[in-house]
Amino acid sequence: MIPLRWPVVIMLLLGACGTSAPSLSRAERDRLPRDARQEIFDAENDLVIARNRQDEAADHLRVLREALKELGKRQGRSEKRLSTTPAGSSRMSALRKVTRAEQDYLEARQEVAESDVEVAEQEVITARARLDLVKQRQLVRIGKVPLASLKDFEKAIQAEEAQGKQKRASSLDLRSRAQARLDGWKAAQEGYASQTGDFDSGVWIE
Amino acid sequence: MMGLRVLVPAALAGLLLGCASAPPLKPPPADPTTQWVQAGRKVDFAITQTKVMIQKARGASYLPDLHMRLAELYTERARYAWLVMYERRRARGDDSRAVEAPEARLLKNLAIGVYSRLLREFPSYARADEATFLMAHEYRELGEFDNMRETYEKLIDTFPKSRYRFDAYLSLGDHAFDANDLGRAERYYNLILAAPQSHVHALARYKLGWVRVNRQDCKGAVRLFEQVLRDRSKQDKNEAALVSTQKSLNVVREALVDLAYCYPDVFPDKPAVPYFRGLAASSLDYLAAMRRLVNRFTLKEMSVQAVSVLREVMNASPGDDDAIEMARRLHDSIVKGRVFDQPAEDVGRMVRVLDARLVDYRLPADKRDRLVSEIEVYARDLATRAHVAAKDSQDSQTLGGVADAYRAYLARFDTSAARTEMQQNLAETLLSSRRYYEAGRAYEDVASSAGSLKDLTEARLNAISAFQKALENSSLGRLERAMAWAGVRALGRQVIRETPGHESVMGIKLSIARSVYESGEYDRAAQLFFAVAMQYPSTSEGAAAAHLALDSLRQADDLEGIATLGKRLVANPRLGNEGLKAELRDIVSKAAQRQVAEVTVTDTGDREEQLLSMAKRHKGSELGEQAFYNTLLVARANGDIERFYELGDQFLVDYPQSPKRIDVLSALATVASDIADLDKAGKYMAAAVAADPGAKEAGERLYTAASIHAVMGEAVAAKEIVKYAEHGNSGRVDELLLLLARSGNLSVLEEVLGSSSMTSTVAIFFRGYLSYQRGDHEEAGRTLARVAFDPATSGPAAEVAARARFLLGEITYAQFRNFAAKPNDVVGTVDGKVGLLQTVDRAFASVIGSRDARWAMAGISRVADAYAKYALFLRALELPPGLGAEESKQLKSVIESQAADADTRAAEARALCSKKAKTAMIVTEAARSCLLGEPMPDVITMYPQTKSRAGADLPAAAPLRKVLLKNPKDVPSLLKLAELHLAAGDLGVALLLLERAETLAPKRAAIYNLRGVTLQRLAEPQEAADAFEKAVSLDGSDRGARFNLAAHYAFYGHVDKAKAELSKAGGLPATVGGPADHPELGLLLKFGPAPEAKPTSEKGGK
Repeated sequence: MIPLRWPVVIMLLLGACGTSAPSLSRAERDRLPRDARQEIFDAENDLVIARNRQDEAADHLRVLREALKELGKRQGRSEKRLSTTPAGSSRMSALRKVTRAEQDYLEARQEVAESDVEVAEQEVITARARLDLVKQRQLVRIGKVPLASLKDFEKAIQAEEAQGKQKRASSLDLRSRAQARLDGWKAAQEGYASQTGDFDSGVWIE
Repeated sequence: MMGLRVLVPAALAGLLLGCASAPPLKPPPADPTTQWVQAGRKVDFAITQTKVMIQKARGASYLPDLHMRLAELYTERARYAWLVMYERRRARGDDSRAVEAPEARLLKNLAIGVYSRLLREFPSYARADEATFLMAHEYRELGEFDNMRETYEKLIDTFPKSRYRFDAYLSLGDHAFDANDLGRAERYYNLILAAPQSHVHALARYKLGWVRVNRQDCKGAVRLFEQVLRDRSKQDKNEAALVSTQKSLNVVREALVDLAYCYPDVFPDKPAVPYFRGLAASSLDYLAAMRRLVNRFTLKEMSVQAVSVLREVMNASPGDDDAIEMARRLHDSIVKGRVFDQPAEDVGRMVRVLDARLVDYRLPADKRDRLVSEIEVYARDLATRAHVAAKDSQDSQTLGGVADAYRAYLARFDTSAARTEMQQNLAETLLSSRRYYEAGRAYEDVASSAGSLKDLTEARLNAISAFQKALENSSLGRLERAMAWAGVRALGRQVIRETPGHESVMGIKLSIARSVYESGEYDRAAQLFFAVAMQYPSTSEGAAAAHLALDSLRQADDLEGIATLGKRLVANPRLGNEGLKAELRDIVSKAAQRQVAEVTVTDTGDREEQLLSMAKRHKGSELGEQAFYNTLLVARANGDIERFYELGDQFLVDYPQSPKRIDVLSALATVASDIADLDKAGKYMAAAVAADPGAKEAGERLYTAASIHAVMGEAVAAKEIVKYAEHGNSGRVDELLLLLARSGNLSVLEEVLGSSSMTSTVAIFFRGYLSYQRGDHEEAGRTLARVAFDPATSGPAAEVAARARFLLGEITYAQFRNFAAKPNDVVGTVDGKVGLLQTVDRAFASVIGSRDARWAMAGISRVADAYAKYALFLRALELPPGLGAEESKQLKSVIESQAADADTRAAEARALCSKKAKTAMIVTEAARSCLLGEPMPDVITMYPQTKSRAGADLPAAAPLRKVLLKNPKDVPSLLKLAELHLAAGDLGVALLLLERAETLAPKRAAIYNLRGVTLQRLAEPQEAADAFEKAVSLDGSDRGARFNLAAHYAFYGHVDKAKAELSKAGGLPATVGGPADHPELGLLLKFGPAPEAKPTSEKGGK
């Protein structure tokens, strides 16, 4: 969880070093017309939403990692149970194949989740860039900075959006792969059940 | 060192304090008689002193008081003497109060003697009545009842107003009562009650009550006891009875307790508890009465009544000595009376009494065990008997009470041998009382102590069933719900593990999956439901599970998962039936649509790329198709026309059988139409018709396609119009024919008319017109004659009828015109020509007489032409050779005369024509001919014959179309586009665009100006004039429109009007030949040098 966020922090810090983030004092903000304040608020709100999405993506990733860990333990318990009977022992290797297929599926989903985290992080960066642009626009409005200064911010947004597009595209490909793995897992389950008549192991009982 | 010096004194002080605060030594046991002996000694001393004072007070006024005091001291001393005796005997173990104390008797006799002397020596003493009363009392104490009675009666007689008379009555009454002389006792008591309220009234009433009891009059006794209790507030606390025995009597309490004696007889059915509660002055009195009542009810075997009273007693004093006995009695009474209305509470009472008793540490272990065993049996017995009694009733509340009884039992006797049985009973009663959640928990307990696998499984199944029922109740609390689902899961897994072949396993699996679903773990739930569906595919549960699996994925927002698992389910041949499969397919399809829709509505800015990527990844599937379709929509929304067309065409290639292809085609056609790309609009619309010819909208689509193609004069229009004509609606077919004719592509029109289905007036006219154009006048005449006199008075039929009549005239005119002179036959020639001239005259007469001014004007003009031509013909006649000079001269004179006549007729006709043209403002070729005195062309062109340039590439149109894609109502763009098409010669397209612009901005002059130019080029000068005039009327400052109007007037002979317009325009046009210029604009330049042009506005200025 924490290591994953470090890149974001570093990027934000680097971003802060590269361009000076525009800043409006409270008094300046208060003097702005209502629509301008609303615009800033909306951009801030977008940033908050992006952060929420980032948290959600991270949570999802954590859940999947835990599920992967639990899978190994579950297999251990199942094997222990099956080993108590001769019939069970013979099924053990077949069950391992099913578990392996499930593991493949979960790993694929984990990759999707990791990609989602990256996309969410990128969206946070983009939302921050948009907020900066909005603030800079207000600074232009009150004459604190020149109009030409907006171009850099607009370029920055374009660059971040391009990055976002790229990351989303790779995320979509990973999803397709996860679905293929899901199909494979279900096929393995079906094969195991038809081979052994055991519909319960790994599904209902461990 | 320092610390030590501080600590030592502190320690010493502590020790000293410890010594000081040591518990005091217990005093030695005291002789209880000592206090009475000492008190007696004090009284003895007082007696001695009083006697001395009496001796010294001879003759004093207070002497009687000293005697009175002496008597009282003897009485007091007697009491101490009795007490010493009593205590001594009690110390020996004799508790009886009937103690014979000779000393006391002696002292009492001394007191009596003093009283007697006092009364004798001081008869008028103020306290004589009191002394008499006390003397009587002493007699009573000594058992000398006759003296007592005599003394009381003397008191009553001597002192009839003394307050002691009531006490005397009371004592006499008591004496009579004790002697069983109830009548006399009653009499004495009634004497008290007859007097005003006094300090002994309550006592007298209470005692009278007992007289009633002894007379078997319980009702009377109850009334009196009740009155004592109700009048208790009236009694003054300071007015106690004088006699000590009576003083100590708590009349109120005694009345309440003694009321219980008669209560069962008087009120056998009245609930005792509220009755006694209402009368009791304190809880102690109440409990005393309850205890008495218990005894009475028990004695009278009134078990039901006894139960309620016993419950009161046990509730109030579970720790009393008699509580265990009460518990026994309660059990007996409940069993005898079958009073099982409070089984849980009764078991609770038993348990409380037991526990209160066990608090006593002095109770030996064996007794404790016995007591526990005894009460356990009572409690168990009560619970099970109540269960048996409630089984028949099936009343859930009653059964709930029984369940609570079992629960109370199990809470106290959890180690009893009957625990398992009781747990089972508890679970059963909870289930019967519909307390399903608790029943589930109870069955869990049963399972935990079950002995055999069969019992264990049964208990688990019962628990699962109970939990399931509990979960059906929507009001079940969140915690209970979570616990119940957890129970279903845990127990279910155990059943599956231990008895996988059990018949209920399928239902259990479904329940487990549902529990996971309810807990919000939709991913996991989907896997479990899927597993159920795949294991039991042919059952209804399997079908339901299949649905639920997909629903779970939908809840988890895993739309791709729906596609994956949905396909697997559909592919299972054993699952459900075709109906189910169709439902599942539908769900998968909707999920795909939603998935695509979600990407479509995202605001990430790369929707198109995402959708296209999705479409590529799922190419060939429904998801891919939907994604592709939405990509199209996004491209359209983004205004990327080229992309839109490109993707649309690609979609039609990739998914040729897609049900969405018609939508795509329609959308493409709509967009093309919006952007005025009529070529593509027609193509897509025709393809949409071909894709689904049976669709409801197919007819309308076909008409649209045909009209677009007709306007553009495309060959495909022929087939489309013919096909459309098969649907009927001849009115709209006529419109299409007119559009096609206007396009100028007459070969296509001819192809359409080749169809036998074209039978309307308009179609026949066009057949005739085409024959006429080909020069087949015979066929044209025959055909046109069929429609020339159509009765229609307006619309296309009336219009073409007028044209047909004119054409018939034109045919005769052509015959007349083509008539060649017969060689050497002047007479025959002239006769033939005259005959034809008359035919022309007749033919056009019907045209001239019609209501259509334009064609009437053309008819007059043509007649004028005919006469003028006739005059020329006559003058050009060659005379036959061989005529004499005179004959020749005469003949020439006759011919010239006829020619002059003809000229006159021609001039008259032309003059009439000119006049009419001016007055009616006719702007046609005929009017032009008349006004300018020029002959009309020999062949009038009704429809232009132009080579269509529709579909030609117009590079300048692209940016305009882009604007129109975003805003199809952008009139400036439409006008510019119309101008482009006009310049390109696409007159039909230009006219269509202008009509669209007109509907959007009907007050815009530029539209009508362009329309006028277009119509003029379409050989519709009258309509063109109307358009120019409207343009000028809408915007007088539009110089372009005014120039065009002036040019139009000038060209068609209305020179004055042309000049007037030119004057208004304030000059001549600077340039000519622009696409928005009248084709004859150059004519204006002939009107001389331009005056100083002062454009009134920039707009339209040249």
